Amino acid sequence: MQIRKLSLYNFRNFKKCNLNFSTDPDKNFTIVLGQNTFGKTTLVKSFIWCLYRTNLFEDKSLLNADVADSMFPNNTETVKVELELEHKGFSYKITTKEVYSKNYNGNLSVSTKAFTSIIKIDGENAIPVPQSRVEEEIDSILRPELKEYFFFDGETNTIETISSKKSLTTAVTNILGLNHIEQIRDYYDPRKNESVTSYLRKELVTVDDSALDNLNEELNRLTEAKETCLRDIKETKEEIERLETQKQEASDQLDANKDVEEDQKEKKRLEKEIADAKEEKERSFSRLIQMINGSNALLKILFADSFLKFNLEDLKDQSTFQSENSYKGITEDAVNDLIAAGRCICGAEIKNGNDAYRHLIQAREHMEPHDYGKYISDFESAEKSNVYGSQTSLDNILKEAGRIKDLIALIDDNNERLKTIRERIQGRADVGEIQRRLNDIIYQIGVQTGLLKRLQEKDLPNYNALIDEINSKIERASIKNEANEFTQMCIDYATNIYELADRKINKSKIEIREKLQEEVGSIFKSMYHGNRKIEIDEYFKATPVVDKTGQDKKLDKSTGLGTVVNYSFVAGLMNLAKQSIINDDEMENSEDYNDTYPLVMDAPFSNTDDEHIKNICNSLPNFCDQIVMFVMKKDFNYAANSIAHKIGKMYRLVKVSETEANIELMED
Amino acid sequence: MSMFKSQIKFTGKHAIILQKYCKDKGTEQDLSFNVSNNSGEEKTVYLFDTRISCYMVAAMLGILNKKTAEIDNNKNITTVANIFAEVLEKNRKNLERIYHHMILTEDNSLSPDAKIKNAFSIIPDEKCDEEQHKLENYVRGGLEILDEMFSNCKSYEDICNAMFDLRDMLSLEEE
Repeated sequence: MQIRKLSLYNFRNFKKCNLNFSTDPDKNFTIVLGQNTFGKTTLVKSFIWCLYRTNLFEDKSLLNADVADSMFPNNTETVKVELELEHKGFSYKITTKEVYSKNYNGNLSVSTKAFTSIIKIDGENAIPVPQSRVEEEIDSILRPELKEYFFFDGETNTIETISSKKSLTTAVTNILGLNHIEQIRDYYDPRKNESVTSYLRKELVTVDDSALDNLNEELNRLTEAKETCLRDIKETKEEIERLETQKQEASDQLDANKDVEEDQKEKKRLEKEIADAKEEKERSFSRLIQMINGSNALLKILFADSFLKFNLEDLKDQSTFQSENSYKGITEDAVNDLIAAGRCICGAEIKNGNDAYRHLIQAREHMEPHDYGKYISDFESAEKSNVYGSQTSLDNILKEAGRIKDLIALIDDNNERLKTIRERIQGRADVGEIQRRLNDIIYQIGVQTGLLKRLQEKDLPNYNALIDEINSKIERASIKNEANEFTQMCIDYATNIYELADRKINKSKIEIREKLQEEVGSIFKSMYHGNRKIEIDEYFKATPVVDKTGQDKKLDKSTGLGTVVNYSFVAGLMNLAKQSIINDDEMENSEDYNDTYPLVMDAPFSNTDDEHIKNICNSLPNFCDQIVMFVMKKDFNYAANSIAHKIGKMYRLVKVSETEANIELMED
Repeated sequence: MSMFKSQIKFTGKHAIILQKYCKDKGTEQDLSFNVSNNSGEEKTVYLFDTRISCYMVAAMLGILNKKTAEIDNNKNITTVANIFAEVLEKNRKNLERIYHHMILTEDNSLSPDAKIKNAFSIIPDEKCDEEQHKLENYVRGGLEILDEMFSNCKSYEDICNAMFDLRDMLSLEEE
């Protein structure tokens, strides 16, 4: 950082003043001479107010008294301090204003509290910094805790003051670039309640692991079942493919044996026909035997044959027994017996001359042994009627016999044809067997296809649905668990970052301390004309101790000693900052890389002897790129020779009145 | 008629024939009429359910062919075939009818009246045995015809052919 210009308007006793600072690297001193109460401290404090709106005055009213007095009721007046500086390649115009108003009672009050605006100039572009980012921008230029080191009040800022400040350690680490790492460490410090790590720990929730375990177990089971189902699907598909191949082969075989198929069909037909014929033959033969036996059919046939063969139907005609009145079954002797008995078997009296007697006498002539007409007549009749039936019976028998013979012939014929076919198809593929095999394959394809359909359309979707359901449940349960896992992972990560940063800081602090010890010690040695040395403790507190006696007793410090120690410390600090003690890859080329700072000192040589003044003035330019001194002339005289060649600009403060002062540029 | 009142006994080859072709063998001897069924199987054929049926058919065959045969007293054949009296009685009508045919068809010089008278008159007791014997001669003759017809039958077909041969023997005409 390099300050270029300070402009004050109505600020305390400076109604309108501008102060341009030397930016010449070879002549980097800007001297502002002024007696006490001329406003030196006001000017230093104006820097603070402009950058941080911190009012270090006891009397908090900043408005110039004359201006305040001249205000009418309801009037407002503005206090303004404008600081132009350069930092990291940008030019800044930082303007802080505060508006005062006077009421009817003549009371002055702040109507608009101090507000700062910044114009950031990058080459030709002047960009107003948004109000919300003003503080951030200023912090990036110079953090507030560092202001007391670079805007040094020699009268009040003793080494004790500095070292007693709690923020010393922080300030040193800030200057030397550890602040970012410290911020990171603090950000992740698990001991801090507001840290990321603590926040993450609060995010951990209790999860019912057993329920989750059960769900995972079920998921595993379903996943395995699904895998099995997929395997089954694959195997079923392969099986279908295999069967299809077999089906094709069988079909091809059938096609190739089409002729055999015909023979096979014929063979089958013949075999059936033969079997049927055999069955029919048996039935027919049974019928034949039945016909022969049934109702003595054969006997009747023979009766008929005898009747015809021997012309027995002519017998009656050839005989004399023609009488239709002949009796059968009774003889003449039987009638004679009845006549002799005088009574018929019916009870009628048989008496010579009566009707019964005459009838019997007459009948005797028509019975045995005189008349067999009835016998022969009946015989003839019976035999005659038998002839027709017998002829039918014989026909039936012969028909049946013929049928049997036909069947036998058919069977023989078919057997012959069957034999021929068998001989023809012998050695050829059994088409029937192939067909049966093909039918079986087709059936198996149907079964496998059905199985595949079930697996693909029912089982697999069912498993997927169940798995999705379980996954949803797991997800719901796991969201907490995963969140915990993730949270824990973040906690671990944050803790690691914290530990890394902490180690880095601790290591760096040791290095800084050593370096600071070296730097400050060296500078102190160049400034101090006594036999003391500086000791830097772990808090970076600088303590002068006696050097040569070896006793290292801490001595009471004189104020002059304190001033030298102060400057040695600040110079050493700035030198280290310039040397980039934090040689960290992360910091290299970082925009957070600490730049150099000007040293603005008010009454720097108070309570300091001239040798120390000389030494300080000789040393400081080596460590500071820009030095602004607000000094009394008498104190400056001691330093003048040492720094005359280094003075770029010199001003003097002119007290116009008690309420007004001016700044005048002094000639070279 | 006093004929057919006593058990009839057949011996010798006639007994064998009677047993062979009948179902009711009445003997423990394995006398079977076995033929091939023309399909490679052997079947036992029973031309007649009963011996009386066979007897009667044989009687008519003998009468028709005028073949008689005497009793076979071959002592080497122990087979006996009986027809019991009650069986004869049951079949009396046919038996008498057979007798009538036997008498009416006898080739002799008797007149028709005489034949008729002989056929239908009550046979005196003293003539029954003689007539019975005459009839049984025809039966035996008929059995031999029967055996001639069927003994060489080795198959169903042969039996059917035998039926056709029988037809050829007969005077009945097919319709």
